[in-house]
Amino acid sequence: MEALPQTLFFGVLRSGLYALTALGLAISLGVIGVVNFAHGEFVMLGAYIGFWVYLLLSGPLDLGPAVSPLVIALGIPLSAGALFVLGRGVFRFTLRPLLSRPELDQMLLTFGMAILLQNLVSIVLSPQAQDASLGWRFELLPLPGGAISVTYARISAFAVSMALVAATYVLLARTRLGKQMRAVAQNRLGAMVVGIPVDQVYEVAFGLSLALAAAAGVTLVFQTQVSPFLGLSTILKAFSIVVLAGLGNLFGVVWASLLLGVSEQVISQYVPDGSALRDGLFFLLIFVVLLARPGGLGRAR
Amino acid sequence: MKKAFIAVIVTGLVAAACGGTAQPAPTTAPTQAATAAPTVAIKSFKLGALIPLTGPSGATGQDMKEGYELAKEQINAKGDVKIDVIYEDDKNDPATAVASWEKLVNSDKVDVMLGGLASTISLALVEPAKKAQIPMAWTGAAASAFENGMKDQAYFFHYHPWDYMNAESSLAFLKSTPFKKWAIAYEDGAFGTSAVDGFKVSLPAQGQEITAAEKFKTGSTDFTALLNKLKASGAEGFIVVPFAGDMIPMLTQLKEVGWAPKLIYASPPSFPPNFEKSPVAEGVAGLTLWTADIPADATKKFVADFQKKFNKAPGSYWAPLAYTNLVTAVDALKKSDGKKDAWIKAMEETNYASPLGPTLKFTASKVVAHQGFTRLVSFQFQSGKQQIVFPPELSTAKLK
Repeated sequence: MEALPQTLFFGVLRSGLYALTALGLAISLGVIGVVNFAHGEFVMLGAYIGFWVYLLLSGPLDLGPAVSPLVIALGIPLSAGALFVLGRGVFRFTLRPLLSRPELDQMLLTFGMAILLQNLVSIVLSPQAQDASLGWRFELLPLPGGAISVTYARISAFAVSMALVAATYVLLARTRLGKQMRAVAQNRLGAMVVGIPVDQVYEVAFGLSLALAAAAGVTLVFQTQVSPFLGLSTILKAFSIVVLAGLGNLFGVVWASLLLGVSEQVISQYVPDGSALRDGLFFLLIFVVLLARPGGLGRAR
Repeated sequence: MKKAFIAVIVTGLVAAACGGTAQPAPTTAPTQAATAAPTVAIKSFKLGALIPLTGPSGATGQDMKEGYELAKEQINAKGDVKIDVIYEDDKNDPATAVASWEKLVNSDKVDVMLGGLASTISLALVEPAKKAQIPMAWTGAAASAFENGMKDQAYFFHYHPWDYMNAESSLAFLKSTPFKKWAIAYEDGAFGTSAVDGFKVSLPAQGQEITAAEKFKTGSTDFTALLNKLKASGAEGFIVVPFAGDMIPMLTQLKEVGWAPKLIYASPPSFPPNFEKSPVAEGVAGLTLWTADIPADATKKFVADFQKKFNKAPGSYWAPLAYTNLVTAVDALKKSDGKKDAWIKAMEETNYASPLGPTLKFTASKVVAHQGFTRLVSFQFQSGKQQIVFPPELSTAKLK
């Protein structure tokens, strides 16, 4: 039990990234009703933009210790902005025409998009995974007590993720656009009846979904290798969080992410071979939850 | 207009999905010489290379491809044979590997199958290989389970040492250190599991204790809980059996949890590119077939040729291993004119001064008839360089 505080702490830190990734997916699923199988690939694109910012700052500009914070400060707005615009374009020209079609058509489209993006990036860039040698990946911030530390990368990924999640919730709760999105998520027909421009809301929501994915991708540059197949490891967890929170429950994503992040750490710490088993055990939890409550644990708000 | 646009997009998506695995630019067919026609027809051969070009072992697979490309260039330049190497990416996924195998053997109709890295993947290819009975010059897979699967398959030639040979080399090094208590973290596929099964028997047999052994999924990015468990076990040394992509997260998080083992012994198939430059590399020991500093003429030539072609040093021993793989397989094809039984005989007569250092000859292992390399050396990253620290007769530095 000595390791419990540290286990819980690292679980909470991990949940920040999960929340950021899953929130984007929850918006596209909850507001538009589209299952975006390519969401992980947009995380991957965001990671590549972050990686290029790192290459520029550490290579030609050679900014030394400033590279790490600048990758966050510049990489996130750049990638989020780029993918917001891309997202609106993707929605307008590919998804919108399929909204009236069966859901299978939309799923096939996004699935094909995922494969297209993986292969495009492999061919145009390189299939090889690359590590960013960022200072914050290795520099340690000792925690009170002195026995354990966290990397600046881990702390900053959590802080940035939670700031973006909080900002998104403020947008959803306090702004006109956010209220429109929630109205559309609750009842599309009703929203149309009261004069909400549903098509425009969809387009902005999809752009926002991809912008959040891109921001999550930038934080991943600090934690893992960047490769065209980075999205594969993120999408399953994002889907499981969205399912656990309940479809359309945008505000439930945070605590569902917390549940995933903490349960991963607890299983890894206290179950023999838990690190290998944790994904399987978490999905078992999802099955049990869905059998007991098919709509997820939360309800749409 | 919109319908036409959507049709174009969907067609493109379907085409991309049907495009199969992500592949680098295809190798070009050998060109015809624009000079007078040769008086003797030059034999052409096709070899299939099934390697991971992407995924957790993608970096290692890319090292192999570079070794193959260098060998191919030199072989074709001699002019007495023309070879084409067709690459397929197994993506470190068994289902993809089997499909790619079928393509190379049945569709491309290659003369020899090359490649092999991850044991899990090679295991999936045992039944397809037995069905095809095609000459196999197989670099990788260390797992004994694969060796047992290929028992009595006369067409099968294996280059990389088996797990028990890896273990013998590792064990000899570990025994030479002053540390008695070891904790182990290993990837939960055939590669990690077979290596650790060996350690679980052999370490205690030589008076060393395993204080904890935990498995993990390769590609996970968080190992803090696992490392906490191992730290709590009271180990002096840490053995880790991962793939390349796991190395930096694992070693970084070692510091996060405040664990400083007296020696870290890592045995991925290869380390990530530029690993030696990262702050977490210092002091990490490992097992290798080769470093660029091995004092053999063939090694020096290989390194110089590689540097000239790719403008960089080889990423890992998988580059010279792949080079050796292609050179020896093609030599046997030349001698045998591509006939299978004659190819087997020619491969059995292989006596090649490999850039890996030792001369390659195929001898019987515990199970299979044709085993190439049998011993590895241990090294340690010291100030950004791989220094061989064991066995003493090959050492370039002392263990720190």
